[in-house]
Amino acid sequence: MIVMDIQLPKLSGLDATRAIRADPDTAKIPIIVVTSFALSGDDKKAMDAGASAYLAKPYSPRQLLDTIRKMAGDA
Amino acid sequence: METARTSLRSLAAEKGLEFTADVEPDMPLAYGDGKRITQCLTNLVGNALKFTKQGRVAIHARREGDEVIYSVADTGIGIPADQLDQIFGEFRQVDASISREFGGTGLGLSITKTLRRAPRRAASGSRRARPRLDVPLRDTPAGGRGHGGRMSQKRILLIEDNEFNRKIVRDLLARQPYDLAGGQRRRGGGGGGPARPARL
Repeated sequence: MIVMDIQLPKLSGLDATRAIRADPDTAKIPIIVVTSFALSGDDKKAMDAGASAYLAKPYSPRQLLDTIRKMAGDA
Repeated sequence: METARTSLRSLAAEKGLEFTADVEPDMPLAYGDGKRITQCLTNLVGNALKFTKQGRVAIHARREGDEVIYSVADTGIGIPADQLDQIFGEFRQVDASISREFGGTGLGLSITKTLRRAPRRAASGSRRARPRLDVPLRDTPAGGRGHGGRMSQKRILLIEDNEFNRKIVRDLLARQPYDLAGGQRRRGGGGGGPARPARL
């Protein structure tokens, strides 16, 4: 599972997500995208890029943990 | 056992003691509560090291039916046979002169006992106790999917360029059954994406 910030220095999280989805070896890895600049439509962009879940900051640690558990099948 | 071995070896070396840890070759791949088992072993062996001034301390792991039996032997001061049934009690050491010489709270073995699922007496009639730890074996990870799946040990790769945010996630997951990668400082914060992670 990958937890990724959408705003990275070189590659945007969205591009990274697309790249991970495009590679058959990594295509099925759950990706949780987190972002600090939540504009409306960002969640859709993230999901379109292939994210499995999307969390906008400020999110609570509890929310992140719940999301991770859900993705891990531990919920 | 590997974890316990590594941390205890340096302690043994410090005191100039020989320390061995053997696992019998027919030991199956088994699952248990690794943290607790390590804690118990560390307690038992730490105890053996503490009360041994010279010679050796050995851990041995073998399989007996559906249990793993860890036993700890040492060439230390030993425990008088008539006190064997007391050593797992709280605040218990053989006598006051022992605590003056070796220090300690007397809590170590009682914690170990509490942690053991099925407490059993140390197996020895002679003057030397050989504490054992009997751990029920499972051939599948405990929990797994669904409710209480606390041992799934899924790997999580964190791609985050902000150290503060990394720390939040590290702290959040520290007590969770996930193996976190990428929580440390790394140049570029994952620029270029993960290099083919094996099983995430």
